[in-house]
Amino acid sequence: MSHKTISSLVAVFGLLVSPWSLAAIKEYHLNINEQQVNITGQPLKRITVNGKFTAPLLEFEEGDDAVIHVHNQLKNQDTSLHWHGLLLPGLMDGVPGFNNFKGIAPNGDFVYRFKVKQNGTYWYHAHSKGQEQDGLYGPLVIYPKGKIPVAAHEKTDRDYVVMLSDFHNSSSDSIMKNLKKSAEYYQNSRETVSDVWKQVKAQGLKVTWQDRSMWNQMRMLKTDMSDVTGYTFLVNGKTPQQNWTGDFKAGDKVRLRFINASAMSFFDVRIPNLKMTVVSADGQPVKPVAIDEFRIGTAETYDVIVEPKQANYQIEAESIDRSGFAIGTLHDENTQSASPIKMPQSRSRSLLTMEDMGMNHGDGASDAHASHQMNMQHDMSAMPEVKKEASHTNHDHTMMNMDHDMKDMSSSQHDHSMMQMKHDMSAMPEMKHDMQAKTSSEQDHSMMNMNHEIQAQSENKNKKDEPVYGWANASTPAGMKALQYSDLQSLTPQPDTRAPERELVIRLGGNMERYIWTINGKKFSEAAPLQVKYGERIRLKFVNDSMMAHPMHLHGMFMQLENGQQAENLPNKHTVIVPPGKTVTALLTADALGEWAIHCHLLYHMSAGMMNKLIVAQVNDGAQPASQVPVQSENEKGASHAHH
Amino acid sequence: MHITKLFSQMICCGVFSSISVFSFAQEPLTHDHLREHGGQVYQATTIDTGWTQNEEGEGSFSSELESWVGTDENKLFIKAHVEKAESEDANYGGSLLYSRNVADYWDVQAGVNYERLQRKDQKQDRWVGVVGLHGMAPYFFETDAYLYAGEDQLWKLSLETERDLLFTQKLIGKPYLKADVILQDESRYASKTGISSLQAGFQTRYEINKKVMPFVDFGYGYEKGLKQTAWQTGTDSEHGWYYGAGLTLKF
Repeated sequence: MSHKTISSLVAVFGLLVSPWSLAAIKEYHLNINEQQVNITGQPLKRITVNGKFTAPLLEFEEGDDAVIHVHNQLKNQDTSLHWHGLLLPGLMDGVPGFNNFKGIAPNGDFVYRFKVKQNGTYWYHAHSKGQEQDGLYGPLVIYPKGKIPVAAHEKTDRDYVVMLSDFHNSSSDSIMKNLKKSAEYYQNSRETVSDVWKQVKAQGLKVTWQDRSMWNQMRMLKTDMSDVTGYTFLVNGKTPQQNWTGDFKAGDKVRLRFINASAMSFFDVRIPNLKMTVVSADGQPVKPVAIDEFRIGTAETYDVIVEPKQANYQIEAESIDRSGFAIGTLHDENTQSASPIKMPQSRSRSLLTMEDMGMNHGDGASDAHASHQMNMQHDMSAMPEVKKEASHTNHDHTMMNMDHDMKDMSSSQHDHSMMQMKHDMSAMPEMKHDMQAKTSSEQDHSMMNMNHEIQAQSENKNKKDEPVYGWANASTPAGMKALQYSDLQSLTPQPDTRAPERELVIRLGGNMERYIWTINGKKFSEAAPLQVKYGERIRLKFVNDSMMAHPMHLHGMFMQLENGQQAENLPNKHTVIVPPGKTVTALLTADALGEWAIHCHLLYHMSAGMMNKLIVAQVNDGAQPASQVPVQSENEKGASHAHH
Repeated sequence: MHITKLFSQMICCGVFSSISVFSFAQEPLTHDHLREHGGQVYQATTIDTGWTQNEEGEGSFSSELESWVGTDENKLFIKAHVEKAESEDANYGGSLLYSRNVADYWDVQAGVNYERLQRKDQKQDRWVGVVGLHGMAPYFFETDAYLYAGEDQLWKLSLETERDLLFTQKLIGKPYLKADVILQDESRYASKTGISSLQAGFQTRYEINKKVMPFVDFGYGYEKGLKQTAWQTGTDSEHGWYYGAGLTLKF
């Protein structure tokens, strides 16, 4: 046989064996460098990709073969890129120390090669030290094959990425160092003596003392909504003044791909006078939900479709500590150029409550009931228009399946939680009559409504000083619909609806004073990995023992958030917000071999230790999970050669 | 010597942990990713310098440094202080402490303390061992409590506790309490046994930023006085108000 015949045979064989060889190869070259950038009027050295701050948009089509050449031109610094939300072989996931990926040395290269197996809105960022905060993040969009919309309602005329981020004049390195010197380094809206005095005047010394003493004993602050302040919030790398603008024509349907690429910030997002229809969460299509606003946790993404009619709309993403806005504009290109942005008035900052400490259990005698009540409060504070129905019918429709552990609740803590309710009430003297008129069982419900009432009032009076309570309270105006996790339903039925075989408890803990953040009491530097059998169906139970919300991100696989929907409708998530003091559960089919990072996506929480390794490994019938993870998983064949 | 052992252990721990990480990977990582998620070494330094006057108008200058370096679990603390009253010689001293985190908010510390007293032409140096607790008590009380034992049969307890009281985000009051209790002291220039000194005061600082913070201070102080020895005559107790101003630097 001639050489030609052999080689052509080999070629044919290759075509048959490799189903992807017909797919398009989409290649990118990314040069990571350090350059002067000027965002806030002060030239600062930040990380650029191909000379750009922030990193450029990468676009793929489902089924593509992605080939991404990454060149590290940083001096004396390793780097890495992680493709956030993508299903790919472990080595290509880009986390140093996982799956034998060793990071990319200075002047080194790494070629990421993987099959694009999904579509949707994702992003990419560094997984080395604080480089993400310093600019190493960008959007990654995968269109359905042939750019054919996954459903009729997803057909749009325009398609924009709206990437939200937080820019700081200090480098990530110095921010972390400062937090370690003093965890209050960036806390600039703590309560003062005069807040205490106001409370004494309003509620008396005794109630104030009881309320404050609890917080003081726990050594926690009610005002700790975010650990780092001083951020300038950006839309697609642009400040509010630089005003990122997306053009449309009257009658257009516009898809906005919101990505929260910030290091430490949650946002409440709204476009005044424009209804949004959520069609995708974390890149995965969901049944359309019409909303007025949504809260987006760090590292989450939401795709919304809007049908703008006015000449101009302002996209307003307000950080939940109310320290600022990321602002952009939608502009009808057939009208005069947009007027300069108007800085919106910020909403009231919420104070954390005992509920956020996980202590507002109401009647401790019935666990289930108590947890339902908490859900209701949660829902209601953000969903005023369904308040009535919620208090009566929402019992089975729990938002996040929050079964709290009651075992570590001492009776004294219950007293305190009752006291907290008193505290809420006394802030609202005009409500007292109603309260007394109700039977004791109803009383719980009306108390749960208190937050909402207070909030609605403050909104009406437009009093910025009036405190609002509760982490989840976004001060959504009455009549407006804010997206809830419970609204999300997968567009297509989940392929795996098996009940979980076991539960993996992931306790989120923190020591704010020393700025130590842990999973199951351990920092990553001291933790043993979590072990899961390949193919196993498990429930991840995130129990938040801390006073901050943690956006928990799992690499390599989607979790199905247990949000009260039917098993086949549970939405896929790569990042799940676990509010302070709450428990959130998600189901996972461990169908990707390898070592996967599971961590809080608040950058400095992760740096402080809030991370672990979830190992999915083959198990030889009933024996121990293989201690050595197979580096060459099925997924990785043909991929490992890319590692130079 | 035990102290040196502790230090060397600490250093060894650091070295070994990095070695063990390297041994996991086939090729050494150019940096240690595990340490970047909870194993990092940090530092903090505070310098307080001030001028204080008592009711009699006698002034004194004092400066204190506290610096730590280490991980969440293992730290090295360096403390130093100098005091100089008007028309007197300066006294100075310091401690070198190994600090081990034992509970969420608490470190156990152990190390050595050196104090040098200047009395006219005579000077007295003294080395003692220190053990104690450093941390934050409920209600946000920053607390340091130490037991000193060493040369000249010294047995001494010290307690310092303070907390912040926010008037605004930048104007911050700090009530504090400092007390020394001497159980025994056979040195030439000893103070009387019992509560030998006590200061209860209120410092108010203005945080220009988190690094530079001028302050004013007032309080009530008590000194039990000097013990009668062959080298000094005993003195009576003194107490009275004091006030002062100074500057705190943090970096």
